[in-house]
Amino acid sequence: MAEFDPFDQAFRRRANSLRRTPSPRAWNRVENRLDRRRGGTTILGIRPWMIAALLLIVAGVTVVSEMNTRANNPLAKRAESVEELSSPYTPDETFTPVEYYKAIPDGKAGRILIVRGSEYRDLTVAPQYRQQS
Amino acid sequence: MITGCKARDRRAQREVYDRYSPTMLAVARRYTQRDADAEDVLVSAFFKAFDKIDTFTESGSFEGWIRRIVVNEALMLLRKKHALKQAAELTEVNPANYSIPARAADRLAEADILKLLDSMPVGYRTVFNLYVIEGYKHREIAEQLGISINTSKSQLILAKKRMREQLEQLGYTAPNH
Repeated sequence: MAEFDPFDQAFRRRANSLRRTPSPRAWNRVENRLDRRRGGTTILGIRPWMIAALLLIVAGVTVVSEMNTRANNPLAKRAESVEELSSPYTPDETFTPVEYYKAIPDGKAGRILIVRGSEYRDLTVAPQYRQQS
Repeated sequence: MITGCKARDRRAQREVYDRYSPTMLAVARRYTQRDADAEDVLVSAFFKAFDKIDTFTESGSFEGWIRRIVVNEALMLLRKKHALKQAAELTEVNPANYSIPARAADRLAEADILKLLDSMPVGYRTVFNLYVIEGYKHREIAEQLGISINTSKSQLILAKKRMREQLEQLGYTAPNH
């Protein structure tokens, strides 16, 4: 069978000259498969970007819920009013500065200032401003 | 172009596809009777070629490399359809009895080539394609198709017998050649 057959050669030449135009859809199918492949490898059918997206969502939800639980966190508070900065500041006629001093009782000289007002309870005087006894 | 394909450049891939797809679709069509199957083979083959482009060594022919992928994909499709199961084996055959004059092939119209191949059973057609057109040896065909070397030889002889009959019907050869 390995003998040279002129028919084989002639048929091969004719057959190799055949051309057929594929439908336009064929390239789209090749492209779609390449795009799917470009998505990368999968871990148990899940793509790495899906895992990354899931972690990002979980982290986001955790941060938001954490912020909500911190009542004193100023970032979690909604602004209650907006100060108008364009208009010049005019103090209220009924403004009495004395009221502001009431919350801070005078300390005695040479002692550590003790503040009993609830608004200023957490405040302490920095060491450099304390009077040395 | 090939360097572009290795860099996964879509334009280079398209260029390669445009250049080789008409030839490769014709190759696929010789193995499959249906145009839709041939296109499926073409799509799978080009996807594999672009996906495994790094395994192509520039020393060989790129067209030959793609062609081998197309043939392998066509054989895979035929295996999947169990189309290669039927195989006949001849015991005493003189190949000279089934020889076909070369001038008949020279005059063959392109449409008649596919008509001749389509008229053959899948086993005959596949062995004929692999042996006559792709240039495989019977040992290689036997390995590829999972058949014996003798079966491969028998299929080829029967394919040529069928082809001679068909050529006579189409008026390419005289019946008493």
